Amino acid sequence: MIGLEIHCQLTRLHSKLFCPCKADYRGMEPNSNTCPVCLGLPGTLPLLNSRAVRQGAALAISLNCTPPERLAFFRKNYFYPDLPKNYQITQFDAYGDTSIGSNGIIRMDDGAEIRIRRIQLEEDPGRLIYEGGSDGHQNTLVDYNRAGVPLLEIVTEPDFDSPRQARTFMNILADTVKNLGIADPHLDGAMRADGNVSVHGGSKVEIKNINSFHDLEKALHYEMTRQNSLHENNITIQQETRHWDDRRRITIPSRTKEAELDYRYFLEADIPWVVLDIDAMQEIANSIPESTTARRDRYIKQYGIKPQVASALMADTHCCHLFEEALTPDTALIIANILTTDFMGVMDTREKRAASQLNAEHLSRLAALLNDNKITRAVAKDVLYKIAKKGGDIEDVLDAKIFDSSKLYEIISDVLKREPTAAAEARINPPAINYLVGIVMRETRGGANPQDVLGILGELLNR
Amino acid sequence: MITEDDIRHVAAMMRLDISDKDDYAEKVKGMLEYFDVLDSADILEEDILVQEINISNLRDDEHVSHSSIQCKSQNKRGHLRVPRLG
Amino acid sequence: MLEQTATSLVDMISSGETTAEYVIEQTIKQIEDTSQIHAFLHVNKGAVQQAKEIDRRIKEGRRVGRLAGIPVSIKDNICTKQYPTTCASRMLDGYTPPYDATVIRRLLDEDAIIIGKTNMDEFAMGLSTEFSAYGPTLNPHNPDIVPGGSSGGSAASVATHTSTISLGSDTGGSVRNPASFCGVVGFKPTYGMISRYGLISYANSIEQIGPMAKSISDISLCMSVIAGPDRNDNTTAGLTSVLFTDTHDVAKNPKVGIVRQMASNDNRIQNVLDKAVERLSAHGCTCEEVSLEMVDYSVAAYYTITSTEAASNLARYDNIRYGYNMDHTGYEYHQYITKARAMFGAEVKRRIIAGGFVPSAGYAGRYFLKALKVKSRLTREIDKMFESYDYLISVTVPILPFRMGEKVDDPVSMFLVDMNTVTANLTGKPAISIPYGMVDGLPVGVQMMANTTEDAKLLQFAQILEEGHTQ
Ligand SMILES: [Zn+2]
Repeated sequence: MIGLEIHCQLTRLHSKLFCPCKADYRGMEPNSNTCPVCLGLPGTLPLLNSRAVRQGAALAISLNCTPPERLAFFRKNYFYPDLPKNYQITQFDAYGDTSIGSNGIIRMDDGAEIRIRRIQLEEDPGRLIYEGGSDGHQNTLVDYNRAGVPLLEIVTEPDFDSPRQARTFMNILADTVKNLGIADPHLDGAMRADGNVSVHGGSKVEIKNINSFHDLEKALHYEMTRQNSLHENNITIQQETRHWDDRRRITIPSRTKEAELDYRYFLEADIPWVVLDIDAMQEIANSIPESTTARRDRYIKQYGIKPQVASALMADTHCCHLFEEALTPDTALIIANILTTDFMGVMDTREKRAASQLNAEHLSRLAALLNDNKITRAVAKDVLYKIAKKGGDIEDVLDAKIFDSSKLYEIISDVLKREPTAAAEARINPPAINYLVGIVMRETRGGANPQDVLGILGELLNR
Repeated sequence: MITEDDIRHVAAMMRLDISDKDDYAEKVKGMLEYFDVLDSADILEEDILVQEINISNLRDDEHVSHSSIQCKSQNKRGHLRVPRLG
Repeated sequence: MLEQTATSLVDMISSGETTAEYVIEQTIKQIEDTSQIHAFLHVNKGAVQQAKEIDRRIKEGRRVGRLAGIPVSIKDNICTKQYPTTCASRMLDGYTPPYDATVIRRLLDEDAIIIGKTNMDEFAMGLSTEFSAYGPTLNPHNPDIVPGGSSGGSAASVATHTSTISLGSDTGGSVRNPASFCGVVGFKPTYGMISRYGLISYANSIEQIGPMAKSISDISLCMSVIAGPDRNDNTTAGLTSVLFTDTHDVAKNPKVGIVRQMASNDNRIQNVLDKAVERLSAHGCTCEEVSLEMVDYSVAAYYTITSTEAASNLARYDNIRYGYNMDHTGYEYHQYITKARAMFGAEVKRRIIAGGFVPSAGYAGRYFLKALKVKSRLTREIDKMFESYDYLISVTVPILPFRMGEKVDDPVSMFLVDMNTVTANLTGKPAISIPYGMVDGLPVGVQMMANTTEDAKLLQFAQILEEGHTQ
């Protein structure tokens, strides 16, 4: 059994969770994005960001969680140099469900249901750098630019059957936060997952330090294999925290003994309990963009897109955005097909597609050309492959590949003039026309539609 | 029963060295024993009362930059240099 | 001159009868003359210059603030950008914050002169000011006696006329207790009435900054300047501004409850309370004994909650981001901070250890949760009481000011000194201590409490006792 604990930064906010420093700390000089509050200077007080609460509630609603009537914050106490106050302000359910979300559920495409235990709004710690590597380092360097950045911690029940399913869940979650406009999951460190694995009813092992969705699958797989082989040899599995070593691609026991820590959670009185009344929740619910299932149904009805094509589109936010941006009522169906067959064919993972240079402008131009019969499906596919891989300008890539009918007429009549014998042959023996088609296709470097060529040839030969 | 070892353990957790005086454990024990009077208060069913705030009274999401605050032991690049983590 | 109240000093300065410069010069001289009391940890050397600036503006006919030229002293746990703020702890030796507390900004906006920073128990943990890392403050009425605490320096300063108004902080009586012991007025407002931004936290769920002065009208004047919602403190939101300088409608024949659980065993002290009750009755009040059952558990709940919060609030003092010089070569992080934190005094360490214990796994239910429940029940009990009574009365401290060193080694005997004051903190209610008599040459104060946000009404009503005392 596998469960996940995901940390997602709210990267679209302008300010940190409790102070007006930037939520987007990336690329700044060390310790330049700080103020008395996020440095935890004596006498300062946390000032909760109202939009962070709204965004957290929006995710909670999207993951079918029950939102709390009142939101409470707690202190998680432990000494560590990345915590300026030596406690982290987070949420905890000591006095009823007071976290931003509880008891949610996500339905996967394969029919599986993944339960969300809770979602908590909390502050990110600062960043630590080990001078001379993490083993045997002499000094630790601290940068508090990240300290206080708003995080949502999403904890699932141990409902995953396989590492692959866990990775798919991460993709769905990434799409959801992107769709809500609350986070950019591709940003470095914006979305991190810890896993917990247990096999055959044995102890739960937590795995930390996983840096990508790809590694998540690998780490979970490694850990399951490790535990299964321990089990087969009748060796008891210890409850522990392990780290994913991405160089050696194995999990190793963690040095810090988490189990021994006593966090002494208690109420953070500097933040009164936030009342989320019906009006406030309704306002948040109304601000949530159309969900993916609702949008899928709309695509099928409005544009006549096949259900499986619509599903494939919805499964990938990036493609979905491209589609929305590029479509016209006339070209929607064509674009959907290009994306789900050609684009997904050449770029076979979400990561590759998200990184591709293909943009909405490319798509709408290609679709218009196809719609006007200016190019064939084959040309369109070829051009798309090139753009998807290398980017560039459609017209440049098309090169000499646009053959409107008048240009094709010219080429074909030139060929007939150069090949009088073959032309005469074709007039009496219809199958001999294929020789001429071959020549035209060579001349057009495969860009012409063979049906078009046949049509024009027949027309000119019969004159 | 709270032992002196319990108190020594908590002192270490609180990052306090109590070897300078030998009466910490005894005095803290005295305090904790005084707290035992709470056991005789008939309050187990009581709901917790808390202060509340409306979401509209929370801070708006606006960035305001603060002039840089010099911390102790910052290196040239601006990192804080702290002892190694064991 | 220095015996004047702030209200009359402001008039004298702005009318030209005297100058701010003269007042401040006299105050500085008085600080030097009373230095053996040790009320101050830091004296503002630029004070006379700041006073001259105010005089110049008065001469030029420009507007000056409502506290123009008034010497105000500040407890050393309230952040001041211009002056060190140490909480009377070696951990913050020489620390100067990069910002002013909201109350400081509001005082300066009204042209008050911050005359200095006052002595206190380290991190406000204590009620005798003997736990200052920089040495105790003496009671101005008797140098062998403690001035109370933890705002002992502030109370002694007002009593010795080295400041007209002082700001202290009150977590469990830390304003009212020294006010009572030094014979001045001390006020703990409704929780959330004054911004805590810049008050260095000890037990943040219950503490408030509170003014101390020679008269209730000075308290009102000060409250009118420093109270009110602040965007830098979420716990001040939702409280409507209270007008402290207006006259409020008060009940014709107020009902006053005398809290039975707060009676003193010392007849001489109980006599002071009896006289106060007599005076209130003579003014048409109905005074009768009432019972607040939870008061018996209040001190245990108070110390459970405060030690828990203190342990967490004081965790940030690890000597990493600020603090004193201590080379870390050769140390591992946790070893280093443990060594650095040895600078805390013994009382602070004891409370941090207790505070690490009571919310810890396995003990939280036994101690911390019960304390929260006692706090909640006490609040409901007192709320119910205020449906029938307008005010509650008791002595501020059930014992006489004690001798230096008498209780310093016995934390539990110290606890009981707080019996009458912690209720206002646990329930968030406003409370005032008014000097109302002398026993053995030592002042005794009477405490009155009112319902949430009735701060201004309480101050107005309490004037009956003030007049009774001065007559
Ligand atoms: Zn900040």
